Amino acid sequence: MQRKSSKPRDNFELRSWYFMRVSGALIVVLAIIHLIYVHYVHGVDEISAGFIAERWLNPTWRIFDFVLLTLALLHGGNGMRILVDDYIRPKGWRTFALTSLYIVVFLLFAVGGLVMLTYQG
Amino acid sequence: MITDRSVPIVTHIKGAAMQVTLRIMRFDPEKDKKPVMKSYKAEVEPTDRVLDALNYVKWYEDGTLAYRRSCAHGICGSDAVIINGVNRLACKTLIQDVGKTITIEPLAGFKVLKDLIVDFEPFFEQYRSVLPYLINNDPKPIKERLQSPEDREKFDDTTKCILCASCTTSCPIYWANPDYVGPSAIVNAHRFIFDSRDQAAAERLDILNTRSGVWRCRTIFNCTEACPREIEVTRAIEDVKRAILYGES
Ligand code: HEM
Ligand code: FES
Repeated sequence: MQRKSSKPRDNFELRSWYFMRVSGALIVVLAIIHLIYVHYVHGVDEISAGFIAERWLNPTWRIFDFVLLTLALLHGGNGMRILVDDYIRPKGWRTFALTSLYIVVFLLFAVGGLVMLTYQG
Repeated sequence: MITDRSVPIVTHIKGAAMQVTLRIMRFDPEKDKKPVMKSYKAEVEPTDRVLDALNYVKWYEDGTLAYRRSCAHGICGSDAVIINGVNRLACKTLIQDVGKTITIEPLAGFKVLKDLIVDFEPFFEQYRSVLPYLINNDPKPIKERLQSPEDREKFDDTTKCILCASCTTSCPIYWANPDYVGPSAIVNAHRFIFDSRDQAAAERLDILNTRSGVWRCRTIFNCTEACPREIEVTRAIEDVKRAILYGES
């Protein structure tokens, strides 16, 4: 078990695998906090534009929501990429599925991120 | 002297203790568009193996039935099939453990050539792709290459593989994605990656650190359950993932 390999290593799949685990662990923590605060401390019937506006007066919540959005989209998007690679075998359909996936992830991120970072109350 | 070679030399099967129903997936590429399930009766002892029941059908009921077997003792890896939904060696599975109605299908994920015979070529190609042999460029020692019992222990489990493909064909990722190198090839890479006498671990880890390598594994554990040699297949795959992960710089 020795000797260095000559080829340069492409570690993309390794990093993707590692990222799924790290982001998964972070999402558990963030999602639980989100669940307790939004659904238990307050409750869904309280949620309105006003509730969000008030909550977003505190920049910590904005950053929290932004991080959760980013992690969930990257984690879910990367997970879907892996699933598409496995299950959609015809090349054309795979390209179509991956392109659609990246567009959806980008749009959700753009809309969500824009609102969170620019909302003025 | 036996002159009629078409009569198999068996003494104990006719008039045996119990009757079982075998439901066998049949496929004749010259006639059938799709595989069809056919039923047969076989007379066997509870302590006979499923292979004996297949032999009974072939010898006494329908000589056109095609299946592979060679050693009949769980060593050659020829007769892995799906028995009542799980991958098993027909020669290691007792009738008394599978009941009176036994469903037998060819392994999933490979092309069926005829009846229970599947095309192993993609499987062997994936096996060959991980360099499953000792690579050591040092001058040949006069005696054998020595190794401590502790070093030998590191890959002991993965020396047991008989290449029957039970693990690889039990993996849902392999069913969907034939590019995945599969658990068996990883087990056989593990056999040499962790061998202190081998020098090509880095090459093998590079081969497995790809889109079709170890990262396709989702830790489903079907492979471990399927292995007739009780190799801890999922653990071997995790060992390789860890070696790649911690070897990264
Ligand atoms: C509770 C928090 C979560 C944890 C701990 C978690 C953990 C994981 C892990 C470890 C994997 C990799 C599985 C593997 O490679 O075998 C994974 C895959 C995946 N995750 Fe999550 N995840 C969480 C939340 C989410 C969320 C919120 C989404 C959707 C936005 C999501 C979507 C996916 C998808 C699509 C996959 C790919 C499945 C596959 O490859 O078989 N996960 N998750
Ligand atoms: S016939 Fe050799 S393993 Fe079953």
